Amino acid sequence: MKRRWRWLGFVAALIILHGVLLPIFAQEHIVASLLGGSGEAWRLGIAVLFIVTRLCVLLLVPGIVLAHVGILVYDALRRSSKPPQK
Amino acid sequence: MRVIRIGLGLALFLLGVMTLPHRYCAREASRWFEGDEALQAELGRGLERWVHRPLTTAAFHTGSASYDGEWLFGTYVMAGLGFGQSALEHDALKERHLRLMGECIDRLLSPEVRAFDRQRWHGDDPIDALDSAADGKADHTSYLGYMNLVLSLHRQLDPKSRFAALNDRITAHFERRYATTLMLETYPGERYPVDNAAAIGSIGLYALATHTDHSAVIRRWAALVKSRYLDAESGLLSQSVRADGEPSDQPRGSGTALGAYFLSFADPELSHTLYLAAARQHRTVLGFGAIREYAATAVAGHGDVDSGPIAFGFGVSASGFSLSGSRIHRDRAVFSSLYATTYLFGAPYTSDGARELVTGGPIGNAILFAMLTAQPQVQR
Repeated sequence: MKRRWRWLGFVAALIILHGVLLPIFAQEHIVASLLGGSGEAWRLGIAVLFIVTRLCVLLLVPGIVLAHVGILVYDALRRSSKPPQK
Repeated sequence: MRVIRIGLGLALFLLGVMTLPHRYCAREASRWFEGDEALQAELGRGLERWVHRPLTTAAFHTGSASYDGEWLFGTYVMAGLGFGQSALEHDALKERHLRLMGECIDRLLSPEVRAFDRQRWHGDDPIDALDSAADGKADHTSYLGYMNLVLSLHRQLDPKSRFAALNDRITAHFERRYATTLMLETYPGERYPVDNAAAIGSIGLYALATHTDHSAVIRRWAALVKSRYLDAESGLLSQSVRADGEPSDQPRGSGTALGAYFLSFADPELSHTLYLAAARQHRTVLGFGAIREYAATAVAGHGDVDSGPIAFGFGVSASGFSLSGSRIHRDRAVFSSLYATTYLFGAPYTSDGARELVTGGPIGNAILFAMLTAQPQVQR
């Protein structure tokens, strides 16, 4: 159970991180700055972190959530179908 | 039991990855496809911010001063086309977007934006040369072809356009040049069918705007392209042409998709032919669509300034440009899959009613504005 919550905590953290980075990315005009020749490390870092986070959130998170929900349902069905222990 | 749990988890994970992400990313595709006014206005407000900066070549860093100049020019061209197309589609946007289109044209006419073409034509300015002895020698298709598209669209929206005289002069220049050769030079010694498609598109749009007949030159140019510059196997458009008229590069998705867009203003049938060729290079990965830069049957080449980055054979430019063709020619499935990819990598963000694709920068936003607002019925 603990591991499952760790996974879901990771998913929640990714979603929050993406939500935080998106406006920073837009307001700081990160791409425009990089196109304009600004190779500042923090801009590059945010750019890479943002892309990785976005791909994880949009591509992987739905599958992770679906898998966990499915396993939760499976476990619940198994528990309910077992005869009560004396 | 443990094996069943792991197997079930894995199966559901794969099911989730294969069915949910592209649907989520494409959830606005239908509204864009149908020309939703609110979305077009939002992206227009985002572009307005870029236009009002104003931009300079310092905003770009391609590694080549000439390409920096082309990107600056391309940003205002595409923004202008986007404003014009959305004004054409929605009366409520017309006044504001027509004004913004005029601002784009003013910037396009500035010496700074004209500089890239002047430099490539050895100091010969594209506008000044129109009335000089040099007119008839220097084609300036790079600058004049794209510029005239924006001017003709402005004129279609406003028959009393303050740029009407310039639009007349550039169109007359192209009529004269096409009377001598059907493949004009973009730069000295360089001939690109897609840049000629822009010039031909501008003539077609000029004909619509002024109710004049220019069908002869359009027909002759289209016949040449069909007979010589469409790849026999893939149908893709040749990317460049030598002085003797022979293709000098492989046919490519980016030029074909952009050519389909430009020709929609002049020859909808050839535009459709080109779009179908580009659409044959359409593939999906997990439901996300993209267009191959080189035909699947051809030897893949490298990415360059035209194609943008190429990943696994898919071209960024070919995919982005094909949004327009799929909207113009009513291919909802391709549009939707390409939009999903645009959403995933473009990362649209809206603040204060203005939308921006945060990874696009000025030119990416301008191109997508033009592509997403391309008109299925521009001739109305």
